[in-house]
Amino acid sequence: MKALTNPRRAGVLGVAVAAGLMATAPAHEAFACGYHDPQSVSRGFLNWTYPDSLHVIGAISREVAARRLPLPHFDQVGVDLFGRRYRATKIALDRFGEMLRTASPTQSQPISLVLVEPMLWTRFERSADSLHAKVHVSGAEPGDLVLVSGEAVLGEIAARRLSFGDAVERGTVRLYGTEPQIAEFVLTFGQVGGSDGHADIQQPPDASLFTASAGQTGLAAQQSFPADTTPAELGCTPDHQKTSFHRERDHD
Amino acid sequence: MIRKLLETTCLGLLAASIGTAALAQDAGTYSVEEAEKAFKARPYSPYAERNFPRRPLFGDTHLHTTLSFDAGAAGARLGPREAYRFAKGEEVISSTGQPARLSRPLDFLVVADHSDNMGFFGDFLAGKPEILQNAQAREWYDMMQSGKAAEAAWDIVVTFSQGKFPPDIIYQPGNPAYRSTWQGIIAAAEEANDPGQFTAFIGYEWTSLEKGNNLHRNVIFRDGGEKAGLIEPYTTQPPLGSNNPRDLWKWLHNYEDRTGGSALAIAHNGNLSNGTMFPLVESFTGKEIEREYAEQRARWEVLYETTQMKGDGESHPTLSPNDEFANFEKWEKGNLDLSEAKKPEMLEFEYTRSALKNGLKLEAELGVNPYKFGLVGSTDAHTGLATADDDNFFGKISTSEPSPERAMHPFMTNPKLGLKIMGWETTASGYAAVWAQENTRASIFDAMKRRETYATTGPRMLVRFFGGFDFVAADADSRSPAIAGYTKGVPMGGDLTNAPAGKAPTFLVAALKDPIGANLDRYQIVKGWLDAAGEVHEMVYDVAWSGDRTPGADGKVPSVGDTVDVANATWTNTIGGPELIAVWTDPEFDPAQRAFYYGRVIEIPTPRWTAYDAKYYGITMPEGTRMTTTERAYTSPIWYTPGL
Repeated sequence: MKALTNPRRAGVLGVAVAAGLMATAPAHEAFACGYHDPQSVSRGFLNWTYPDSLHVIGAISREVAARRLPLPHFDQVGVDLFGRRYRATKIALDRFGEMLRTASPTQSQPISLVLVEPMLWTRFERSADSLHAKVHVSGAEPGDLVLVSGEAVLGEIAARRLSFGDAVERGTVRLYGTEPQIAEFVLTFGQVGGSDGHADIQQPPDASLFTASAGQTGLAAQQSFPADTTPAELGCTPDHQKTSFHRERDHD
Repeated sequence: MIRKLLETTCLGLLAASIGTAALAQDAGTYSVEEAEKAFKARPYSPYAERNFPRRPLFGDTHLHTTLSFDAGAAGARLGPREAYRFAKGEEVISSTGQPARLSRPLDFLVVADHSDNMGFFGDFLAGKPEILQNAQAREWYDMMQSGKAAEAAWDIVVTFSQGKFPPDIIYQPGNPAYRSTWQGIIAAAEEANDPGQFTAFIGYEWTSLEKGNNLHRNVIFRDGGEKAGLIEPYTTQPPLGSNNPRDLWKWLHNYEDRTGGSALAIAHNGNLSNGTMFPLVESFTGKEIEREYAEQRARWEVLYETTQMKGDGESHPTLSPNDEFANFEKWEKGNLDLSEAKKPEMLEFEYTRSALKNGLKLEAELGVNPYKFGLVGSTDAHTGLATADDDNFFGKISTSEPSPERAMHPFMTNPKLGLKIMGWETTASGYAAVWAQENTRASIFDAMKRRETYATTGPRMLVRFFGGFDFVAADADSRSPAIAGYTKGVPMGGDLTNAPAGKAPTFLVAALKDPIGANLDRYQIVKGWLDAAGEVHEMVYDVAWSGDRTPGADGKVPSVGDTVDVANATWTNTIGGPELIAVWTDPEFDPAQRAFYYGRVIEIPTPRWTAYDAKYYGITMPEGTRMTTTERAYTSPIWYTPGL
């Protein structure tokens, strides 16, 4: 298909991710309203492919406003020419993968995670002795459990200031897959990132990863939950379950 | 004797009341019965037995939902029904999961989704079998299911924008799925329409984009589904559609002929047309505008959307260097898709004021003024959420709904030309105010046709603007200027002619602040005229202002001041005034010269949406971000034409 073999276009996503929030599409190729770039289009499609997945934007924004999430990287003025943001994100993704492996060494379910700000996809794949984070893949594979979240959320989890379960409860992570997939994942990894968790890797927060300020670390401990709770016990409303714990699409 | 006295008195009162502007009519033909009927002694209630509009109705004539191809591509998931619910004041959940509600309900709404490929996305992503029969669509769909959604999404958008979309799946007239989409839009409007309470217009946007130059028009129907349902929207891609406005006008003509209905078109964003929105020389033919063009444009395009989220189009500082309020929310870097940079010589053909001026020139040459339009504002939001308030701004597209990053995100770029518009440059604007007698499709539409409208950048200030030859200072000593306004003159959008000897146009102007908004700084009248040598000119007059400020030697009233606390996104109404009213007489009137006059009402400075975002999220905006604004309203003009 010609569109996919167009090297300029193929390179667009990579540049956009590495350079942060640069929108690189030639404007004359844009649609009627003129402000579509590959990044915003792929983000927009996400809201359809994984229905209401962009609700994490609202949830993350609310958490930032409540000062329960750190100011995001995009608070930087100008272009991230040296890729600091990308490197920090990659480190956090690798660390998240390590946390998952530590929490459940036998877990084999393939997971794909997309961070909505840069639309960066990462696939966590099981190898012989580790869970490898393949950062910057084109998207999820069929059958994957898909996690949709944001950079600041991942950073807080990786820095062990926010448990995965709390992030889910607050709507800052949404999961897409079959109900058993989702339930198993949340039960297994709900404590990942929690400061009082015992299952995940014991690693001190890396202050250089994200720009969190002091005094924002207590919530995860306050809101972490026992490992044997079910999703319904996490405080999710039925409505929340309907939207966030989305059933895999019929045509899949 | 009594009858004779009554006859004399009635005719005298009638003449005084309707003003010289209307005296061109033969008042001597009134019978006593007619005079009694027209001007019988008023009842105790000053408002009884009058049918002039008593309050402006606020609405949005330009809102996109998930059914627009680009809105859907940007993740909008709210459809027309949600859009109407929101406009009526209900709380809805936005496409990014955020509860949203207007400070007050709107009075009317036009869901104006793009006609080209309207409704495609929802059906495609739902895997509609008719679409997936197409090999290209199947490939895109399979890509989306196999982890290549981003590539598929971009390829769909680019293929469509290049006019290479597979013809058998494009949603256009004749396609049953397209018809179904259109019927769905009509059904949503019919359900939401509540005569007397809320008006849901049927409409769409004809999205002409010629070489990246914006020539969009919103089409609004006076009619319900029984007529609008007989047709399908006009599109832009040949062979069924066209990018040429002349073809849209033909389509509108055919609609009225075929259905007996009524429709109008509202253009917008001349600032992104790179000199093609208000041409003297048509971009499609390279020829000078002739009478046919002028007649058609004047007939179908009685309104212009002068302010919206992609910038304010009333005036430009390059065109109006002596207007200290002209540099307001400008988008002036290029055309709509930034494929061509802006050149100074384009500006004259992009902005409201210069178009009104050139309209006078064309009228003198052709006998018809193609740019005799009234003014409205609207949002052009692609979120299903008609928000224009700075403290409640849900952005242009769904991915620019409230978030800590939206101001910093580039909105449009063309690296080849070094052009970029940042998210913070999006304007929280605007609304249309319509002086209609009733909140019904017919009444609002008819008010639009007579141009009795004004634009606001968001605030719901109440603005009156009357012109005549007999207004006196005492007319401003009233709580009901409309009584004098309608009886002695014409309202905004009207015409004056045949100036009586020795008399100049007088204007009765009045403005009340938005009840929950900021105080008012000043009421200005902008005049444009055509001199004997065929040159056009303009002048801005301060005619009413708050406080005891004294105009300087240049005639301009000093600044009202600024109380905005940017860090806290607050301001105080300790400056400015809640209302402004005055009678003004043109001091430089020449009865032989064509002219127009319109009102511009300026609020005191208030926090811009960027200040509210910075405060709410605790973020620092990039250097150069505008953090305050001076909201405003623009009335439709009143034209003066020498005796014909």
